[in-house]
Amino acid sequence: MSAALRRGWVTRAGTAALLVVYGLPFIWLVATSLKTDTQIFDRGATFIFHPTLANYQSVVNRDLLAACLNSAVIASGTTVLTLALATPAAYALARVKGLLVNLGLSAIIILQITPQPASLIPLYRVLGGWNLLGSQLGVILADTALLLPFCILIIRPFFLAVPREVEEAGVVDGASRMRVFWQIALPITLNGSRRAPRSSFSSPEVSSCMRTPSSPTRRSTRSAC
Amino acid sequence: MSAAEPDAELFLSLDRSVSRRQVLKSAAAGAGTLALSSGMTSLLAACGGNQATTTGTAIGPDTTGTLTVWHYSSQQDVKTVQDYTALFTKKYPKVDVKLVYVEFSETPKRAIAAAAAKQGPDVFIYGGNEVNAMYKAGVFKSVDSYWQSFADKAQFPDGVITRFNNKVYGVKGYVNLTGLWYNKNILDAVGVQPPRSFDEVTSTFAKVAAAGKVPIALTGQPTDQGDWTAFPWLTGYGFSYKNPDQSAIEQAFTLVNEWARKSYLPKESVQWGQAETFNRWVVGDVAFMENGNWNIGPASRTVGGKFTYGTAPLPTGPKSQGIFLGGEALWTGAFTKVPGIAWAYMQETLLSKEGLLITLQESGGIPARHDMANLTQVTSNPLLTAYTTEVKEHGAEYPPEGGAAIAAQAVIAQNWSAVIGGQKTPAQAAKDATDGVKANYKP
Amino acid sequence: MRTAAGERATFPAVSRTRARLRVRGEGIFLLPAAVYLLTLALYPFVELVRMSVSQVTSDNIFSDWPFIGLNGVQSVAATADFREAAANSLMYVVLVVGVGLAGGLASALTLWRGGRVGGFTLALMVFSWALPGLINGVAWRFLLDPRGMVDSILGLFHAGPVYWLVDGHLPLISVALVNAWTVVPFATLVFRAALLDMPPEILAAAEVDGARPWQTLRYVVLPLLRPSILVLGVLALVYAFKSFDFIYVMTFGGPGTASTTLPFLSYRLAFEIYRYSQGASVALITVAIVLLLALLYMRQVRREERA
Repeated sequence: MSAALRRGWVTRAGTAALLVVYGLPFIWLVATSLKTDTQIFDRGATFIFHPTLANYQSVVNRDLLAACLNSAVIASGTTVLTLALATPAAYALARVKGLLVNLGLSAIIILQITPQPASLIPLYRVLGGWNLLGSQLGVILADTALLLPFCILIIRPFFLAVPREVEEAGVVDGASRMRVFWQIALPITLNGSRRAPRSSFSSPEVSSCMRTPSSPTRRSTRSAC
Repeated sequence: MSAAEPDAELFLSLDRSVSRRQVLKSAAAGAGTLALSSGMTSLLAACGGNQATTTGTAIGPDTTGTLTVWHYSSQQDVKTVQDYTALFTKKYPKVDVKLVYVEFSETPKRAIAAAAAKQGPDVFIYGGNEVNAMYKAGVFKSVDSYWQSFADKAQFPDGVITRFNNKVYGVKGYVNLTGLWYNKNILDAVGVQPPRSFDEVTSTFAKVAAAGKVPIALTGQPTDQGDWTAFPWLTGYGFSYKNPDQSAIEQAFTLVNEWARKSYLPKESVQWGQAETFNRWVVGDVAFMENGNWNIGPASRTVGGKFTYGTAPLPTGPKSQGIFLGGEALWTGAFTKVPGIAWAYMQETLLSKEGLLITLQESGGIPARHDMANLTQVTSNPLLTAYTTEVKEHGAEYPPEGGAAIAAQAVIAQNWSAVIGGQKTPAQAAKDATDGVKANYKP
Repeated sequence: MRTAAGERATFPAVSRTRARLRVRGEGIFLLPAAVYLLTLALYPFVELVRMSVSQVTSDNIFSDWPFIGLNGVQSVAATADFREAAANSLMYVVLVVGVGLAGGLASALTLWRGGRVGGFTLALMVFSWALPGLINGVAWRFLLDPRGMVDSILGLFHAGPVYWLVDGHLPLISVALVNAWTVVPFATLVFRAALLDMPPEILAAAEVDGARPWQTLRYVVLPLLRPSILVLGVLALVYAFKSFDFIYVMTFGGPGTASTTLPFLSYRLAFEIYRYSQGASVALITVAIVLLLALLYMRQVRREERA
């Protein structure tokens, strides 16, 4: 690449601009959290002021801790449930062909398109019918329902990338389908980062899903999604 | 595209009633939305389980039975409910009262679902705006017969009684309403008094603005809180939901639009709920705010000695003004097996002077009873005087028309917000509002 | 499945019977997720459709729903509120997709080379993306206040305070830009991955041929990024049409209804005035619009790929 685009001033200026646009808001918010109400409204104290921890003191109380606990429980519960359901489903959708699969994928895509309020109106009734309104479990179930299609779509390419030959070798050796999934296919997807681009920072699932098919560096000629 | 796509918690934890003191608590805290419950699991099992009680009309200290009461008071506020319930238990010690917490926005849905299964609690303590839907779904039982023979019924203004089909269903004992708070330091410095009529308002604001202070803070959100704030101004010119007079609406909108244009009212108020309005006023450079009695406690805590403040009745207009009376009302459940005991509960708690003293002292609720306006507990707090005057002279039922005008209220709120933000001229907004109210509310 | 070169991917040489048996077998793995989604996603969706062809308000939500056919959908689509929301949605989507993708491309081109500062900047960006929409919304609501970051900086240059969330059409634009701000990091990651996949020989060849940087960009890099642009475009389109959190927190659809989009209208109809069937109708119309746009888009993509 020509010198101008390599670490040139354009790149430097661009990076600086990004740092401002993404860094300054956080700095501002932290600074504001250290101000009293009066200081916030005082134009003179916008950039230079006496910081105070009073806001943090008044916010950290039992309610906050209860909220943190709720968030932790709901987040972990949702993650576990979603992965438990999405992983086998993604495997199935990577291996099975046919009309049912296409219908399933289309249904998933339609669910993804539905705006949030719409999904929740009827869900309210369903959860209400099971007495789950007002419980963490209810929220976990609702969150999982909303995240599951997306997760299946994201995980599927990993299973597509598992070579069938390896699985067939397992079948030939007498492994049941469950073992093939659990002990052959799944571990390979977990190691899938071998195929991820060099930089450690890009997210492997995104890149494998969005791989450009024409790149000659790829071993497989299948498009990933 | 956002990593945390759905926010189910958001909807399922909405709580936007103006009779609650803090709105948008979870969003403002920013620490992630709260889950549906504030930690308590709901006891749907408690719904509808009443043992048989002594039959016969006379109820006395020997009456036994169970009374299920639904409420939505949080852990901080539930003590008030327990304290006034104790008044009932003192008189009827053999009745077992079960206080069941049901989150505010869930109460109507749960009640309607239970009614569909022909079940429900004996008593509701509920002050939200879905009462009309609940009534139509058969959730409530009328207390008209008890009310008519109630000795103290004349003590209650009309605005606290909700009637359906001309029968009494719900009654509020204490109310929350908006009034005019003022910063006395600013008023003295500028040399003005709280305006008493619409004519005086704009000129008072002009003087404050000339002195470099912010004249007025009020709620301009396009939500039910905005609608609450707009109602006194609209009705002061002669508006009502039954009769939406376009010129009345236009006059009110012209007034507030002028304040926004001249920066007497900060334009950001279109985003403020009542809590944000209070926070803005507390800073100390704002002369007036339209806000509620529930700020009495918070004001003493957050303002402290920063400046002297007081309350005054809202300025009145040429026509008869209405100010919404929020607060919790008591209702009897349609499927109660002990209506007599349910009425006794209502009578001993929120319809009694002792009960209302408890709510006054503990939660700042203004007693609606006329005969309490002169009690020392009320007169000794100057901040309360404005409110009791308003209750007596301008108190209006909330939700208006028994809750049947909800969609019309939304139209008013949106247009109120649009004239403050400048998206619409007062004339255009008045026309849209009138059309919208007529289209959406048919008495 | 087709590759870019147009060949059909060949199946491994396995006997037909075995292949069919295998295929049927793995279907079982679909069962748990399928049952779950059928109950908690598809069934509610069916209910949503049913709701929009019935008359449902808060008094009969748990009992019978009288069927009214498409009258409800038609009547809500004819309201001025709906037209305004649709126009707002369109503007919102154009901004989010346009700014999101353009910004993502520009950031990727800036940051893909890596380096410590670049890596840190990318981490910062991804952190913003990872925050829940509500948090970002609340934060930016404050940052766009007259006493917030943006107006304070403008104040340094003696530019008057701009009421980003109040004046005229600014509320919708401001919320859309904030939303785009959270989309840019995701787009950056995708483009960056594609850039890293680019064979270095191509860039070297362009340089040897004497191409100037912007020529390399336009004639070599962009065509290689085309698939990413197209995929991101669809994802961003769907996401932007659905977007609700930011509006809810920053303006509540206001002032008045100036920043009300279709999802927000759906919410307001259902949860603020309890006309559930109208809210459901608006939601379904939104789904139909997005589906149509997405299908048209895909068809265009396939046409171009074959050409």
